[in-house]
Amino acid sequence: MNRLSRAKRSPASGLWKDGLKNAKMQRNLFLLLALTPAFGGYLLFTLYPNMLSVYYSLLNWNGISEPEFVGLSNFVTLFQDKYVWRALLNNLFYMATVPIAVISISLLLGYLLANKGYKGTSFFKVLFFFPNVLSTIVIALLWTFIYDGSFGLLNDFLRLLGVPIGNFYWLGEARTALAAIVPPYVWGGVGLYVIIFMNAMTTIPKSLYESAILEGARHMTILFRITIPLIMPIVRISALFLILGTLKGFEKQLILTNGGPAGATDVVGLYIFNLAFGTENHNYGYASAVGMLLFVILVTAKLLMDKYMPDRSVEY
Amino acid sequence: MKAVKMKSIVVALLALVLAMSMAACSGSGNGKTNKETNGASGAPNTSSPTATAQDDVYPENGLPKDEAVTLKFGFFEGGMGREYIDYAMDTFKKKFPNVSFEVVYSPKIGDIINAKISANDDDDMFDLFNGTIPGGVTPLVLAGKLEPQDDLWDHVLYDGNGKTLKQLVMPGAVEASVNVVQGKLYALPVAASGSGLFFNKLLFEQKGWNQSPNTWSEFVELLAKIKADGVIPITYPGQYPNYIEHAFGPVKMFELAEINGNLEEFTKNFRNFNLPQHLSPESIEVWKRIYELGQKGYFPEGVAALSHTQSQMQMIQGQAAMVATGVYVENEMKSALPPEFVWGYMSVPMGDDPNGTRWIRSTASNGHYIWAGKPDLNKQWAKEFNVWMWNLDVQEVIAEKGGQLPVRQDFSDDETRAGKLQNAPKAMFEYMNANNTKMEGAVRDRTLTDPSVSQANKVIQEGTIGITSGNKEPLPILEEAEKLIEKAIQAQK
Amino acid sequence: MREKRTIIDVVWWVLLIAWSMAILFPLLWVFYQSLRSNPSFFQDVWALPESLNWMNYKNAWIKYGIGNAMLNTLYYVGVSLVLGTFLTTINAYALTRIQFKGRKLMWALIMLSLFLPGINALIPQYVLMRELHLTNSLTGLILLDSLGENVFFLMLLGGFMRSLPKELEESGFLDGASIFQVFMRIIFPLSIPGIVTVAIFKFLGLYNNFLGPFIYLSDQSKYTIGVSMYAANQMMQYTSDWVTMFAGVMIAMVPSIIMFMFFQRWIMEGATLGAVKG
Repeated sequence: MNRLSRAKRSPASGLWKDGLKNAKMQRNLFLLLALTPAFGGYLLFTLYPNMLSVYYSLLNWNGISEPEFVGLSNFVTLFQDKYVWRALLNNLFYMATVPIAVISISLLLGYLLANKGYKGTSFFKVLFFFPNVLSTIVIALLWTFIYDGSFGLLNDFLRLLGVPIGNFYWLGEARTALAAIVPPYVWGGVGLYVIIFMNAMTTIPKSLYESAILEGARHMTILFRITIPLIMPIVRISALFLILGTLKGFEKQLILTNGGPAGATDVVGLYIFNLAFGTENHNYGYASAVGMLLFVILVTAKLLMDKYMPDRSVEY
Repeated sequence: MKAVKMKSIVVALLALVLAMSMAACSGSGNGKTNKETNGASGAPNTSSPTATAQDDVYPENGLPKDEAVTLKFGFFEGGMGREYIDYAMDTFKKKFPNVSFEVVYSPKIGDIINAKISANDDDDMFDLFNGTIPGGVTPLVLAGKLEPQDDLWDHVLYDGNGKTLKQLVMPGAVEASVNVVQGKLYALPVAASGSGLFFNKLLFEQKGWNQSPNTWSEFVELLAKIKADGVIPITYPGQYPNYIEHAFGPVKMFELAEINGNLEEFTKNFRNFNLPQHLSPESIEVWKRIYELGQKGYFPEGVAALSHTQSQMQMIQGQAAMVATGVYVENEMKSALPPEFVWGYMSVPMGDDPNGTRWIRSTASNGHYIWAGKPDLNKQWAKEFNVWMWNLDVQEVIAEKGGQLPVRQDFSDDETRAGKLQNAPKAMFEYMNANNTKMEGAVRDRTLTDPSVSQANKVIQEGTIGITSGNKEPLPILEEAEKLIEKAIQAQK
Repeated sequence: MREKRTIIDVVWWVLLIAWSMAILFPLLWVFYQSLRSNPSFFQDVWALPESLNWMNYKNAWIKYGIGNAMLNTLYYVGVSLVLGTFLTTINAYALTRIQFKGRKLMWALIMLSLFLPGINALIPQYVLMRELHLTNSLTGLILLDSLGENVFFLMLLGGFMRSLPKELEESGFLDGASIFQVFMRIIFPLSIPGIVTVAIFKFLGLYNNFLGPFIYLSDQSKYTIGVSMYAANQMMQYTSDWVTMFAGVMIAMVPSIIMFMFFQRWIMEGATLGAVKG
């Protein structure tokens, strides 16, 4: 923050008092025009509805009946609801796997592309980013076909390798479905971070590497000793986006398994979605209460990150 | 030549089936009627007359000719496609030029309806809509948001020669109507459906499998043989586990109750949500048998991943012998069927008596709800449109393009029209002809409104996967669900 | 700085190829299936087709109303993209390079969006949109998607703008330029790589967006490609006409691919998050 505040010294220094006033007015007008549409829209379309949902969490309301104020009773129910905790546990699983997988694969691929100078690097760069172009729907659809038991690509591939897999439905068994959701997330997410990490890596002065190489350091050593520490701020932000994203996200589960089999891939976001939009009885009040829980979890995750991945140089 | 023969067989079958069910179902009027073209004149006006002068109103329904009405229609585009509804709307607009439609077709129409419901704005809402409503219909009914449509049973048909819907309805369809909440009908059914196990007749012939087991032990024997031949005996879409009810489910509990001589008691308890529900001897027995089949590995591994079409595909491809679904299966799968496919049908026999009654799940559904907060004129026209769906030509399109069954008993009076039925429904009729069967919608008279009911459903749905894969005892699941039902009943008091 | 290639390099090379295959293969597979017929697809997914059914593409075009949806998408994405990107740029400039009272609070409120679950606000948001008479209108949707803050974009652009030396602005002011002129003539042109990157991400987000258009546009004739594809995906439950859907998916990908091909260089350079220490 401080670095920035220094960056914006009074631009009018040295001008007349009148001019100063003028510049100040001009600046304020600029700020008003620059901030109002975006920030106003944010307040109106994002924050306000979310505030309303805080109020909803105190209601017994299915969206149709007269809303009934019930105080904190939704929160009492919440703590006794085993489905919430099951979903949360699944969330924790994804939070522990997806960001780590995405970041480590991206770092490795990014490092290889940025430093090894292999033939076709630019082709790989473009190709790796490609899944980011696709919508969630298409990605989920592709993976439905990959995992399908009878004509899925994965089983065909395994058969090719001689694994007698039969017609195994990867998304149909509780023991595999939970983990099977991870690859689609990783597949769709890696490309962006490869590019981001590569761009960060290219800003690292070559001289730092050269001395290390002269000293005979291996690539893995360089990656872990020099590259990663230097781009740590970026890794950290990426981790934040990914962790919050996997905690909030549910679209892939929605399309791939709808939380099944028997709730094995249910996550909190999906649970809320089904409470508010699912086929069974709706309860906006309760859905909002679970939303509050998710909010608390998201904030907690951020605080834990601050504690265990401290970095003061990243600012906003 | 062959086609003609087939048609007459079907007509004969239909007539026979109808006659049989009519014998059981008294007082539903004459079966024989003359056919008439659309919009027969001279039908008395049964809906509330609003207009004054004779010239300004349509004689058929007494609604004004000069008041333009646009009906907003939220249409569920699912297995029946959209051809039939386009046909119905086109003919309706031709007959009543002052009425027009604004339609949203969507396989996820429920989500759009849901958003509109929450917005609580009558203007923004559809006048009429169909499909599965997220959160169920009951909350809407309780809040007085839907228009009851019971009066339409006494409405005169547009092409029924002065007869009312009730007089020409397929026997049993009134009782099998879904969307009855607290004794009132909220969506006049436009089509009927039958469920059971559908299979590939040619495959059964080729493998020498029994196409019509008459007792439970014969049925189990059949499954064992299929399994021994390396084929999955029964598949169903595990993404929506309640599809298992197409083959088993409450209807088979009725069948068991009848065998046990407990039918009257069971029916009363079932209809009125009297306890025991999930813990009734019939329910426990049905689930126990499913569990036994599950333990023997008669359902596919990984069934929970299967969508509706994927499970049906397993059967068509011959990976599975039979699929639990409804007659619309053929329509849904039509673009994937090999040319030489012959449909077969069976209902699971629960008893030991080869001549015992097979209960078949059959519902009358796919009706259009009408939003109560709309202007009267809109609602009246919406109701007229619902009646319009009962025109024989519309019913014919529903049978031909939608793959469903008609709701009118005079449907098969015309051979050409009866021939328009698709082959999977025909297979079901053949089965009904060859066996002693009874149609049952498993509809309740009493509605439980407490959210615990949905929780009970969730328990059963999630439990179903475990039961059919043979690794979860059904009893604890049923007990948990029963407790929730009990809670719901108490909350109601 | 050429180094010797070792056996390890072969491993890395294989890894790169493997990841490439993992991306390419499913896509090629869908393309291949989009040229087959339903019965043969269901009979044997790997069978070589007797003929290539390019008709599937025509059918998909008609069945999913792609022509009309493309026009709607062009309007919705086009306007949102121009308006939204401009607003984000000027907003990022104000928030990262101008010191003013309340800035910290604004940042804090914007960062809050990262922690909002989002789903439970959907209903209140719909009610709000209806009160403002913005439902069932592409323009309403444009407003909803153009006005607002996005932490990812702010970080991306902010990071870019921060890397510009502050002397640039100061010399501008000394030459007597107004802050508007400084923004338009100095900051904006220099931030182009960052802006284009943001624009491309916005494009992908808008183009693939389905939940908003699906809920807010009740009129079928206003549907965008995203909604059409969502509907097509959901229809798979009720129909076995999958090859047409594959063809539809391929068509829907084309605009994204074209955008990507044209602008990939910008993404490759512009995708940075925040500033790097060092």
